[in-house]
Amino acid sequence: MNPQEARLILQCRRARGQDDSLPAMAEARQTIENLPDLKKELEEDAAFDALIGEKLRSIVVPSTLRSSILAGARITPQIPWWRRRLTVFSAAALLAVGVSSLLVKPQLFPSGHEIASSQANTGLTEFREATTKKVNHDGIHFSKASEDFSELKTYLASHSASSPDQVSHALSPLPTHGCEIFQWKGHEVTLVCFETKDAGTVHLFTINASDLPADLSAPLLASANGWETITWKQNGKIMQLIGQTTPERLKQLALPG
Amino acid sequence: MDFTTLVDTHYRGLYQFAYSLAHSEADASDLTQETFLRWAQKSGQLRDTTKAKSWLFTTLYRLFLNRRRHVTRFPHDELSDAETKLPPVDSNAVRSLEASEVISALQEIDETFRAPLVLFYLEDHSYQEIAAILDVPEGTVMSRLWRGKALLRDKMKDRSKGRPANNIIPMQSPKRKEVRS
Repeated sequence: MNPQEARLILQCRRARGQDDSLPAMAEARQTIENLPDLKKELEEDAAFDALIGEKLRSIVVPSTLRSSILAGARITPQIPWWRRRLTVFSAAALLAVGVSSLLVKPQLFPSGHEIASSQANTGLTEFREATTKKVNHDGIHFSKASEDFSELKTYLASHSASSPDQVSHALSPLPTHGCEIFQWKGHEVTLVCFETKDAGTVHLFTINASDLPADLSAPLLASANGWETITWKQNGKIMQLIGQTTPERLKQLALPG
Repeated sequence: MDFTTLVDTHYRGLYQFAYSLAHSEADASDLTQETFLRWAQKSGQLRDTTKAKSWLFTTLYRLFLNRRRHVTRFPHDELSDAETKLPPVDSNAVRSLEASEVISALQEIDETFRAPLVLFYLEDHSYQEIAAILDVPEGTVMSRLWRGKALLRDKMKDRSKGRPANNIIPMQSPKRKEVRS
């Protein structure tokens, strides 16, 4: 090893000596042992490195980060393999039914009302797909983490136009993990994650009704991507609660009374 | 190692790495959370927890690059680039600078050099581990560290003198130090 190589290796040596046991480092140190100028130069470099390292390690970590990470991990759903497979089978079956109905009744056309209703529900289906996929794959990144729903409600009311103004008596006293504000097709959506004793974590999505035209004269129950969902309209907003529980339990949690 | 212990062990270092790359509290928090989320989703596939630290830092770096849509491929640097003495800098002047000034000096350095530099300064990883995280040869890490340090010293010097930093990347020191073996 020549002195240039030794310099190159020793400038990679961490200031508190964590690398001293590496054979290359030991050899490099031995190489410069009788070169006082180079030794001094590297000592000065190490002192500078120690200073910079100290500055970087003093970066303050946000106090809520740890709880947000842990909360985020808790709400990561683990979908059983059979349920994933069922979803694929269901999609294939639906596709087959759709194709065969087109072949069997090609002469039938939907009425104007059916077209409008179908378009509205297409939006709703897309929304349901997006919310369940978000929880399954994209992940939840809390804008604010808190176990108190009223705290999240206040936060959302001041940061978003699509905050949930009112939730059921069954939902409001439950502990929360946090809330997130995100964009879906250019529209703002809010999400609040509640923890139930019997149904695990349930997720409440809210979007302004004007941003999602939907035929919702009554609450709509549906399954998507391993989740049960219930969607309803309330005070000019569309709300959707999703959970891995029975539709009946979800209905109890979502709706007043 | 359970998840909470894993978070407690690494979230500070990951956040500081993310913050040094992204220079934004929101982005750094987001990157750190996303990294742990990926771990939670894939923990079944990663049974060797001794590699957890390296996996977490690699994942965070890739997430950062993906977000930046960083498509430029940088060639692996030759070791001969780093054969000269680093530019001198006044340690007392650096000592008086705030951490935020060091971070903003780092932001002026291309992320090719910034990422190994920050990993080195956070002192969580050896240069060999940094090579594995960034997926480059060890010699490239050595070279990038040297050039990154040269760039940082230049930026720090500008700051400590109270004048704006320039964007000139010094590839070689003007005076080559002769070393006799």
